[in-house]
Amino acid sequence: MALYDSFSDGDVSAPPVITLKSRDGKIVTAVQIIEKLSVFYTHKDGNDEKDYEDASGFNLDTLLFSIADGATESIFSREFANMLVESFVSTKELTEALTEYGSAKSLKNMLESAIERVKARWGLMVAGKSLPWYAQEKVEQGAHTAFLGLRIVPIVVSGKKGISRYLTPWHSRYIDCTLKWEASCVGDSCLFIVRGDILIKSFPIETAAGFDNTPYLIGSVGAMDNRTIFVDSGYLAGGDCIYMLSDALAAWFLKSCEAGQMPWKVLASIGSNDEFQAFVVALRESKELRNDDSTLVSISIVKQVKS
Amino acid sequence: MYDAEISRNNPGCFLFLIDQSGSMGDPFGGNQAVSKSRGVVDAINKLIANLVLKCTRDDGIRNYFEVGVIGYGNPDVAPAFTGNFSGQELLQIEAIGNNPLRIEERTQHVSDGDGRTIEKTIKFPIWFEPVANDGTPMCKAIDYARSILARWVKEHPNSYPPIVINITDGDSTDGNPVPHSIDLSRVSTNNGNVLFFNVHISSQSAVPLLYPDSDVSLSEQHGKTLFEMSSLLPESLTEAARKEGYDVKPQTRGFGFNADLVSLIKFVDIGTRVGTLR
Repeated sequence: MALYDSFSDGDVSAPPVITLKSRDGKIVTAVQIIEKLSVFYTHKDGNDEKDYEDASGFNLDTLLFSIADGATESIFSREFANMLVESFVSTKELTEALTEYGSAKSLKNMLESAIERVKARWGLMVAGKSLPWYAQEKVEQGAHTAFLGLRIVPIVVSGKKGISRYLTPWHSRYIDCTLKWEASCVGDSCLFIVRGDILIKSFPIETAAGFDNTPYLIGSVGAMDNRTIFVDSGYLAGGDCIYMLSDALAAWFLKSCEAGQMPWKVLASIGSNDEFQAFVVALRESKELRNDDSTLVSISIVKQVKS
Repeated sequence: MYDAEISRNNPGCFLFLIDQSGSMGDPFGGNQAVSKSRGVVDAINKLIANLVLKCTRDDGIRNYFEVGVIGYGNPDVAPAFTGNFSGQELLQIEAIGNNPLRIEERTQHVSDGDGRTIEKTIKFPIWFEPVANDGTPMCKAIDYARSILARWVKEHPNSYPPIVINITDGDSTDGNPVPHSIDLSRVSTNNGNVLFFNVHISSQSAVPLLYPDSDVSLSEQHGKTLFEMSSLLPESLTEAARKEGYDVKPQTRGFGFNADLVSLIKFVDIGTRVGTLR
């Protein structure tokens, strides 16, 4: 499958400029940038809803989004996945970093910080439990999760420079900016970016054959191998759609692409969690989708409002 | 085949056949301090603990597996669980995990992550004690396994096929076990036939042979017999063996010869990797 590369940091092409409505000459990020945001999920067939071990979260103030996929075979992974998602999207340093473009810590460092905070929290949580021998041993092995984090960084390219990159004249109804995306992940939860009818980014796995049963995972105990954190970045254009999928759904997505289909069209048409659950059940019954917890976060970027 | 997902509705089944004959009192793998019977029960206790851990989730132990241990040679063929489980052929893994005879504390040498080895105290649950008496009625043990599993597959027609692991140090004393093995392997679920794996343990310090695809390197007849009795590895277990570094081929069988304690545990660990637990 050929992937059209999106604009990346090292690309000599100019990134797309998107014109947004402004309010008092400022970007009010989520309102102007995100046209639609959906979060859908369902648990494995044969399990209870309470056994769902994926997690997802977002913060529209900082334009941070994440999904995590807690490993079934380790203990208290659901809690670990949820803590990591929550910690990542509410990272305080990140909020501060975003107020000054150019001084933002790298997303990889942000994830590393979130992991360390969450490992300590998870350790405190399990330390308070009275557990039988087998649960104690599993706790010593730790919880594990895959993780994918995304942030969208608006960078104003019009307006007064030298005061703040975020400001344009107060009376301006429109504002020109580029939208940078940055993603950081460990494991096989995937990010897809679709522009028009073309898949322009598949991260970190690019082919359906790239999935196996032993993905990199973040552990709640022991040292983290930071080489397992993968990062990527690029620029968005108006009308782009971003999909964040846990592994089973991501594998189906890539397989469909490889068969010449456009799986994002059916994902974009899903309007409720009930519809999503019915869609997943149908795919499982036709053996197109592995029976696993399934999570979809979809983000539609506004189209250009002024040419 | 051999791809059924294991769930609480469609559990997996492991049946261990343990040689408890008199020769099992001999040293294990050239180590005079440890008898084969001691080594085997240590391995079985460790393996049962590993199966419990595989099924442990936030809400406790989920009944993904039913497990039986049959002893033969002491003085006959009988279920080996004792105490509250005395006489029971197959038990749910949750009951096993919550009811060891006792929990010992043992010292284990582990890496500290900086290249040093440190001592660590671990909890070691005990379900079985060493036994070594009488002959080796292997044929009778295999027939007993067949009768247990013929009943089990009727109750679990859609489950992953049962896996039987026979651990022995020598020849059958009640006849040629090959025809009995063939009968055992005919028992099936909708997902495939019973898998019968055999591992021979030795008194000598010899190089273990695990997961071979031919018996040409086996000089002893009982080794060839055990090879012949053993099932071909299904694809998922072939993959597990390959990941552990074994040179597995399409004709690789679930068979180990001259196993020491480490290779015995590794052999059974690979043989019990039956895929996703749902």
